[in-house]
Amino acid sequence: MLASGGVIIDSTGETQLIEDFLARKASALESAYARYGDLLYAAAARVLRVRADAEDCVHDALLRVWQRPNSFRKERGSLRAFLLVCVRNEALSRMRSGARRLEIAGTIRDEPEEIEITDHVELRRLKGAMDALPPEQRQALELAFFGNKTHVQIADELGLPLGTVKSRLSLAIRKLHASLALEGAR
Amino acid sequence: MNDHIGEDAELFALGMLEEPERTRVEAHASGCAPCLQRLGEAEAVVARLALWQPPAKAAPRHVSVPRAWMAAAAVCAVAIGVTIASVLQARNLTARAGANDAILAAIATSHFNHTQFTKVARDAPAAKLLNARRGQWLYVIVDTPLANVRVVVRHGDQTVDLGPTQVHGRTSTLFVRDPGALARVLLERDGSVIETATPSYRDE
Repeated sequence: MLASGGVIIDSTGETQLIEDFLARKASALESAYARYGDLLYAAAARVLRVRADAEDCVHDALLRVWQRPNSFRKERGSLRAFLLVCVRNEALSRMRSGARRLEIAGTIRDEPEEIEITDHVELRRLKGAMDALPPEQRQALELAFFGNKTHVQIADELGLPLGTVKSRLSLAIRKLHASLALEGAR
Repeated sequence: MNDHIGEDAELFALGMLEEPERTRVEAHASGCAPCLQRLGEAEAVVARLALWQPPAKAAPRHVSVPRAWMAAAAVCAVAIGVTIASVLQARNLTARAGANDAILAAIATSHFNHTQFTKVARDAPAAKLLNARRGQWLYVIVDTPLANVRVVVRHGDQTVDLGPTQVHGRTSTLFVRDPGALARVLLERDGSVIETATPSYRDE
């Protein structure tokens, strides 16, 4: 089964989890946490860089999702992707608002250790899709995603109109989607 | 519905939008199939990009328990009794504890059991132990504000001092993440055991 993003989602049993999630079964949130907790934590930790803040972020984001029962529908595609974006957006908000600003003194001790991707096929696909982007789109995307910068910051840094940055980011994601969906279908 | 979200779908997925734009995008997409699909596609891409650099697993850590949660947990323990098995039940505490309470969130995402401590010392205060059935966390609630009570756990031949409880109003508490499955939990005062509890990890 292919999700809208061209990602195979049924191999891990996500379909059943989605059914349970939509049915508001009490076990669904726990299952989602058990299944995706490490991934969600990793996404939060990449942004916040502090272990405790990343853990809090994941818990709060999941709780918020659960409290909004209509936030996810099957047509949206992957529950995993939905949750990950929710957690990452929460982490970015925390970072930008300064409410959970890093305490420099504790950063080194608390900074999460990096782990390696073991799916080299996926890595190759991602790298190939990124390399195929026009340079200006790839640059904007790298600043946004890996630099955690806002579109306003990117516009300032590149000396571009805000609308141009938005368009480049949007096009980059759309092209990646097309490339990855094509790869996934092969 | 007019005014489709357009490129805001990708900006949303990338975390570029703040409130109230996020809410606007979600509200529109929830009632617009093409926009919901576009949003889902963007999220799928971002999720795959996130796999590119995933960091870490959490390690055990201690958390100071907010006062609001302490009250909520105490009410919860008394009101619900032996076991609280459902996430939905835990959600009912949210209004009292606050949505940003990380400890409530931890409990909301796990099943847990409840055990009363057995007094060893005659003057030991009443105390309760809540623990996740899979050992993700434990939570000690002492019914009096004692700062000199230490929580010590035993597993096999190992004894580990988890530290002192924190005073919150008229109670004192200690929340510990990832303690694993423990044989015994002891409360000590001035180096002497004053009460004990045996965590339950059964599905009840």
